[in-house]
Amino acid sequence: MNAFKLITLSGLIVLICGFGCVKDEELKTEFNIEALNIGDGWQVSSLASEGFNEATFRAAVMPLFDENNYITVTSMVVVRNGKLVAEAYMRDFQGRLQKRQIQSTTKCITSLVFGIALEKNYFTGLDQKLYSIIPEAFDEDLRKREITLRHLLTMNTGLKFNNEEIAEELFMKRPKNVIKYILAKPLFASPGSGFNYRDCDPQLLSGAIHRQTGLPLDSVADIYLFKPLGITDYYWERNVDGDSWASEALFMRPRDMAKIGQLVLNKGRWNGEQLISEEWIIQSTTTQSDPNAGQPLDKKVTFGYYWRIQPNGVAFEANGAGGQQILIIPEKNLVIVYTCEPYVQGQYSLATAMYTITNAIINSIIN
Amino acid sequence: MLTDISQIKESEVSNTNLFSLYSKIKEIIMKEKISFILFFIIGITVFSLSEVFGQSSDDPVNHGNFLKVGFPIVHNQVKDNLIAPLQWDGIGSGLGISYLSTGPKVIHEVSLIMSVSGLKNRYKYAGYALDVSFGYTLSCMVIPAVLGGTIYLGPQIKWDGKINFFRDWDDSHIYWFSTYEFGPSLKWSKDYKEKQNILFTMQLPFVALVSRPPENQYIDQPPLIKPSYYFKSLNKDLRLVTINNYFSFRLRADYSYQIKSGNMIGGSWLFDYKSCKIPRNTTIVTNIVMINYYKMFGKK
Repeated sequence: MNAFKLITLSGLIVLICGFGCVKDEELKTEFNIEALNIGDGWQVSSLASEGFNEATFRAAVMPLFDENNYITVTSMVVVRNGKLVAEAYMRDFQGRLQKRQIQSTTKCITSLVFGIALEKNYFTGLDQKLYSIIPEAFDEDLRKREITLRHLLTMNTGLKFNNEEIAEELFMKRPKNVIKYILAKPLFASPGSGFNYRDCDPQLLSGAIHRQTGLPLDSVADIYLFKPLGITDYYWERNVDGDSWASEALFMRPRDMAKIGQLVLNKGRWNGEQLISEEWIIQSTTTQSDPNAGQPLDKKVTFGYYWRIQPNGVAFEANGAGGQQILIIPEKNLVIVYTCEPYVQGQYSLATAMYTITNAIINSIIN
Repeated sequence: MLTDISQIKESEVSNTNLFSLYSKIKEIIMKEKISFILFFIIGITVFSLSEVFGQSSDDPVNHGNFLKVGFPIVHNQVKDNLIAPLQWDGIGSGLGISYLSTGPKVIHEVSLIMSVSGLKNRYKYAGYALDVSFGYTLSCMVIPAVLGGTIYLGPQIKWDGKINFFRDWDDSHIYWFSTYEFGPSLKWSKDYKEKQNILFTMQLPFVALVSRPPENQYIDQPPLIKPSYYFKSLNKDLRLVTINNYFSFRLRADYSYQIKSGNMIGGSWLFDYKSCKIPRNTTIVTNIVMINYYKMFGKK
């Protein structure tokens, strides 16, 4: 055997071995939507008992387990009449115990925590100026001193801040003083002159909460919101200033996200205790910002205090990139939670696709 | 026994593919006591090195000092259960640079291979793989005449830094697999028609330091634009692993042809398999086909 033959033969062996060595596997688990009682405060019930047609419901959520559909979905939790009726963890049966990055869904929890702090008189009111709380973070531009807490809650500060840049500028470059860094951005419009969805305004709110309560946002949430709800296994990342990232970076279990939804559905009450004032919940889930002014109300999505409001107010949502959702449908006494791969962007995001499942679930309600 | 091949029934062998055969052999290896395996390998190494001195070689084609430059075509297969149990694969290219000092009894080799590959999974989600491999191999002649060639054995230390960025699945984190390996390297070298040489190499690291990302990356946006972050990550939380939770081997075939004044051209096939169970199962298989140029700068 000459050298060329030997080399060719060995090369072929190497290539044959090499190309077959990594085995592709199925991504999803078998179909399973059984809700389990794990002692985390949820009362479990059956689909039929809570007014669903079980067969229709199963057919509605079946696509979530399809290997070639809803590829990046990771969980679904459905609560009706305050009871957990179905849960699914498509990637791993242990998923119910795993914390998921809930992306911008975090903003709505920030809003709830602010409502608690407001009720506890850490702030004088929504028209309190941010300058009165953290004056040292402001620059020479006097117009910025007109920014109020209401502007922060309605993403209305007028600060020129491209939301695409925040990941690169705030998370990656990691400025030493995030609040000062944000407030150093120029104004593209006067404060209060128009809604502009971005992450910097909730972050300023996080700084204000920290300053006024003496505790970072996550600690305030832990004391007044998470502990009373029985939410103990979560992680909320902080920045170099010690402030929690208020727009994203909260990791929670899907069942705990459903508790947040149920709390809002119950207008701030959980197990008979009023954790957040009813007035705050109503304000938060009533249109405060209208990015689509001029369009008819039954066609457009508006915003409360970070909560997204479906046309005619039929549903409120906390939404996050990739397809994270806490969906509250008061008319049906229904809460639905979805989590998906959180860092999937663009065409691969399930943010819009999940509505198909939601509509199918709603259609499976017979009572 | 280290590997009892007889435990694999013929019927099983005939009904399976190369992958499952390999898995079966690996499973049997895993069942054996690691201490015995280490003892066996170290014993062979020590015995072999003791035989080195006093033997000679008639293998003159590639004796000398060489700078070797290679242009690789890389095929990468990755499955990292930290992200999903999906196979990602793709083709890339890069650069390989080596220093070779080959003599009648001893071969020294210092090599660096860098490559970048595209990756795609079955859903067409795209990503990238950046691989850097740097190692030193000392090979001492142990048997001068086997099938007309010479057998060398010696130790190898190697650093492999693999950074996978599954852009369409997770645009915010890197999934690295970094290893500092130590183990034996076995070579068989043979000259053909005075100007040609073939060299087969098998390396089986039995102990390594491994760095992998944590099971849950509770950091929303790591500073991916800072180069220092990559270096820190590749050396973060290094853990000592052996064959029970880390398995790696490398096969290589080199062909070289002397052109003039001792300079050579040639080609290589390189197959690299790595599998690690911490924090979750991860397998990376790399196939490299490389065209090489050897510049001689000292005859031995």
